[in-house]
Amino acid sequence: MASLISCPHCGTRPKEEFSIKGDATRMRPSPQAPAEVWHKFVFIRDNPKGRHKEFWHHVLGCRRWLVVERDTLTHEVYGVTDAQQALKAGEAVE
Amino acid sequence: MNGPFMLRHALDGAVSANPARGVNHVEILADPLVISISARPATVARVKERLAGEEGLRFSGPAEWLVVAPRHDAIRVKSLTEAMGADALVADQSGGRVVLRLSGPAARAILAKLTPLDLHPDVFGEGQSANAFFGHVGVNLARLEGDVFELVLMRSFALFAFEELLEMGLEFGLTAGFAT
Amino acid sequence: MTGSRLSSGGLVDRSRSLSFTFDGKTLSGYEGDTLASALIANDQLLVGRSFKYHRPRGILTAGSAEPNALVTLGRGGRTEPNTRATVAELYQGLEARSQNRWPSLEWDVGSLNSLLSPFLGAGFYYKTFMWPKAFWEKVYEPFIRMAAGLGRLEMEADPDRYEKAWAHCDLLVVGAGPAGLMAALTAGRAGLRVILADEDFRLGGSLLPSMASVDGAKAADFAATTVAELQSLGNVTLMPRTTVFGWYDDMVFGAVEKVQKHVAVPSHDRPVERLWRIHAHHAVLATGAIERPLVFGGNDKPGIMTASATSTYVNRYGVSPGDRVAVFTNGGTGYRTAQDLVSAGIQVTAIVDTRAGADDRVPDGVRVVRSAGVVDTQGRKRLGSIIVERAGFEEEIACDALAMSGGWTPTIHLACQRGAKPVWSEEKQVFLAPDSDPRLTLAGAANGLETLAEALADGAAKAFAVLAKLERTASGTDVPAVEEARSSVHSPVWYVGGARSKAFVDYQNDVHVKDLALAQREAYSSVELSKRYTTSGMATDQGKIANQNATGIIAAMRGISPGEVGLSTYRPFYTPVSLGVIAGTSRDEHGRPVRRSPLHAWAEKNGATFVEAGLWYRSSYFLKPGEKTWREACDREVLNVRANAGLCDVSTLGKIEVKGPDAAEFLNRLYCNAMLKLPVGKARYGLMLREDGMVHDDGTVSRLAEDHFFLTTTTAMAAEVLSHMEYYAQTQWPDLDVTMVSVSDQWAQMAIAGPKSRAILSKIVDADLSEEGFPFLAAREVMLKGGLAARLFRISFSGELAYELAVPAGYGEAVADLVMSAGAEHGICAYGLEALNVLRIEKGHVTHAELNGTVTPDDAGFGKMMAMQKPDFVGKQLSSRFGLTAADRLQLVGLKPVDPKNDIRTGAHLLKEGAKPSMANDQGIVTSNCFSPTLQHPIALALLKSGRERMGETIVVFDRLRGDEFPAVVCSPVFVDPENAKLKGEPARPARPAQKEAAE
Repeated sequence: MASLISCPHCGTRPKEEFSIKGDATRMRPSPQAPAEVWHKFVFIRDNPKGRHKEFWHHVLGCRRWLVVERDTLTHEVYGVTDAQQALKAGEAVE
Repeated sequence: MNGPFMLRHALDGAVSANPARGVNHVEILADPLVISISARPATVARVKERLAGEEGLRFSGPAEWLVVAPRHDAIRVKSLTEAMGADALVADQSGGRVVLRLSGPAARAILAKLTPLDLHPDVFGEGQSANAFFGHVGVNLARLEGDVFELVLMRSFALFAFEELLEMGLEFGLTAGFAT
Repeated sequence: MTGSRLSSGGLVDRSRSLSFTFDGKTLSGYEGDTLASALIANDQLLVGRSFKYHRPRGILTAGSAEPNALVTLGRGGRTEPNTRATVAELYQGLEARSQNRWPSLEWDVGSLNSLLSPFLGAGFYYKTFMWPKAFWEKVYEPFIRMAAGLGRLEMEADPDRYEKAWAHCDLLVVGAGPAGLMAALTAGRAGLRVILADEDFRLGGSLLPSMASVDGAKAADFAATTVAELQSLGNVTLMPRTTVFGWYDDMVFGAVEKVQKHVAVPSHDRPVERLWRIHAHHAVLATGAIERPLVFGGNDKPGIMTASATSTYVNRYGVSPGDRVAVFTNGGTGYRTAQDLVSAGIQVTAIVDTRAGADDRVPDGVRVVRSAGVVDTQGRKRLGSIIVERAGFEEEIACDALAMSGGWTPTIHLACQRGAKPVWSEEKQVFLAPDSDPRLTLAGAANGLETLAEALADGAAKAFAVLAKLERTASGTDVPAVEEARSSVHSPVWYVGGARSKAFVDYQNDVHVKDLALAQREAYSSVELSKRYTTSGMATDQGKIANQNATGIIAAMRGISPGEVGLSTYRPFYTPVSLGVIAGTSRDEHGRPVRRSPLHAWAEKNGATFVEAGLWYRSSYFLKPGEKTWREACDREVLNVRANAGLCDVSTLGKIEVKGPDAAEFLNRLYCNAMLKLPVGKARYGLMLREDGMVHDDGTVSRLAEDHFFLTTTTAMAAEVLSHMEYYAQTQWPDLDVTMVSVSDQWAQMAIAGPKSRAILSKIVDADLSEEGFPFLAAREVMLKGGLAARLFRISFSGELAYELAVPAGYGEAVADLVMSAGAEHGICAYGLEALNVLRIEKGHVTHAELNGTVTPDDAGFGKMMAMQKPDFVGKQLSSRFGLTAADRLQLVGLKPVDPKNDIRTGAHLLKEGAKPSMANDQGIVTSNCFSPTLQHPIALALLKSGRERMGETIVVFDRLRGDEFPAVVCSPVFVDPENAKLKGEPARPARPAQKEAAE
């Protein structure tokens, strides 16, 4: 029926407004990083059960990329932040 | 302003020329002004400050707004563009948007069928606006006053969304027509 | 021996008689009846045949848990099979038909199954229909489907409308019985936004048939008064006829409202059903309890129903299921029903109580048989008598109806739908809801409480708790005083011993006690396995009646507590939900949004035939008088563009503006080719890659100012590319000072292509369009004569001298009209997607047919465009990985058939001459094809292993599906004007190879 995400900019909205990109803790390696690191970044994903950080794009709302920390089993949401604002504030997404 | 060029509205032909006007009514603005303003990351605070008090300002995102007015106004596009300078991307989107005004005692009940937004006046008060899901498409929805809502739709989806809106309003006798 | 309407009483409106039909017979009832109560009033207690054995079945309950009285309502497209007669609101003209019988309800051939029942035990499908294998689908399945099953669907389309809607509240109260009404009243008076939903058409739940007095009034009157007060509160929304069927993530509840299921011909202005998604901050489930049948021999005859259902029919509907009613009970409920019957003047022949003693008041003159059980029943299509066993002695007691009560099961379904398991209460001998979310509580009977007074108090208390959490003060709501006869608790009897005939546990799926025993013997003893082996609890009622008894019986068989056995998993939906309402408005042309170009009306008046391309309706070709096929139109359009000029609507391209001091750097990182030094006023073809090195999308980039760019994307990838750009800007390069916005809908964009295009545009555009004034790849804002600001790009997808002109969408049609009239003297034509495609194939320009996600820039012939000297761009690092640089990669080539009569078709595979068709021998695939009107023979683009080294090779085009196998010659993908002379609209002359210019 719906899962709700509380967008820091728009308020509580149903999942239909979002698209999900997956693991938000993986950041693009440096251009000089060895091929192995790039391979892992592009192709290898964990499929964790439990607490996880994901990129959610609020496509039909503010069009911001958000970091949603939630439990993949229960869908309990622990927090939603604006990815760019968090990164610029120097917060590692880890 | 635009010489010999006739304006074609996306909803031309979608309503009768002399529509009845019921208590629940959708008014289609014939030639509205819609400007999008996107601030750069470095200029958000400045742009926000400069936009404070701008008439017809609508919230799209933390660094993005719309300015909506009933009539297209090239001078206002120009002056806003100049005022923002390099700080923001100002785009005249008037041709790419369709602006509707939905009013009447059933307006909220009709919108509840199309958008997940909680439109209770305590939650979504006068002057508030938001981008949201609307039927199958997106909308910028604002409460202008009481039971009067403004809907800004993408032009390409407008006919589809408008038909959906009229269908949802059937039970309330929703009428529609171009603003006069 | 008759069911009948009582002379008075009940909440039906006796002044409003309604006629309806059952199996073609015209009957009548009153407003306020359900179909079931009206059938009882007409002595129609035989309502259906059972699923497997085709046994005669009647009405078991008076509510939504009904397993037996399933009927088909309506006709034609409005036919609705498997509807529970017990919740179907009666209306004038209702048509009902019984199900699962042939030729008639009274004489049913399928009932022969009963004679075969020794062979039809649990698991008989698996044991019986094993061989021969060839019979599985051809013989066994049709046979089983014919014999078993419920109502039949009509193939006619449903003519009615369905809707979906959202609702929001502080408190959702599910169930408008005593607990629900008190919860809603308490919260409503305190000012909370309350939604009170109940599946019934009349709010009040168990208050409606209750003979108790509440606050000195009849219980039903108390309910009416309370509902009236709730109705007067602006902050309370009452939703009768609304079943809350599911509890989902984040306190979202799903509900179905029956808007027009109680009228013969629904108004087209309203939906028949509405699907609600209710977002509640808190919820109180006051869903009541379901009375269990007793499991005894012959417990399924028409005339046998639960005690509370009997009371409900008598007290709420004013109908009696029989003249002489027996009661069989293990607790106080049976005595209360006996009292209700006696009060209504109906004879109670005996109360059979499984217990040795109880202090319930026995109605005057009614005989009680204690420490006794019913072991069998007599009568075929209607109960005639019961066989009662007490201390080894049997006695036959005549009766035409039996009210049975096995105790109450709290309705905890919603609370258990999100994975938390129900909790067994030793004290109450029932499963209670787990404590899984502080925002959701249960009240009243659903919370295991048994008396009306407790339920009222609990409802108020649960609302107070919510108010306290929200730090709201509650204005005084006193719990009303209740006067009610004392009622003893039930002492569980899961199975009445000594059954002399089948004792049914799950009525709807015909599962009896022996089936459960077989499952235990054959080691399907876990409750989930027992369920699936016996099908107990798998019918449309999802075990509302059966599951608790089945667990009790399994526990007894295994010698453990019911708590250890547990219950099978609860899942949405609580009751069946129509597919129509799940689809809502998403049917037919409203299944997905339709996008229309700003030039749609222009295309229409020019005779376009439209084609769906993604969500868009695009003009495909423009038939002229005398033209019969798309090919005739397309060939003419192509030749005319190459000889004169054409106008094509390309408004569907994605359009994005990018601005900021880092805009150039941002685009330089997004595209694989160099963007940093693109001059202001110029356009460039650009390729975006994915991080894995494959082409993501292509388009053009134009620099409007030093810090301001305008990009186009392909139509299909417009939304995806914007998300891709926002992702990199916001999450990967948050320090780049850049912003972007989609302007796709703002611009009507038209390609004006062909050698005469300059001459035509010069009449319209107020600018110097000479080769020097507006050279190839110029991109500038221009004014149209008459004073309209526009953007003009000198780019070409067709290979001809060409422009793309963009004007504000509302003026698109006017400008297109102007271009057409200005071009008339030059022979301009409108051209569509088909001609556009032929023009680009002739020029070897790629689209997503070629850029299919497995293609690198080098595969598509753009290897030299990749600016590997750039420090970084998306896809750079993995572009040079092993495999992407292999010599035998598939590369873009052209193909010409050796025999021009052979049409090379897209999707065909390529083989070396003489090679056997196999995966190992596969050399590539055909990606695009067309008949080239310019060259007058078929051509194709293909991806071929090491293709660029194989020019001139003869290769076999192989397509087994369509029977193609013929030779073709590998050639350059550029079939027309390889020197790009025509780009300047001048006669062919040696020219430096131009970059590929624009992409669709």
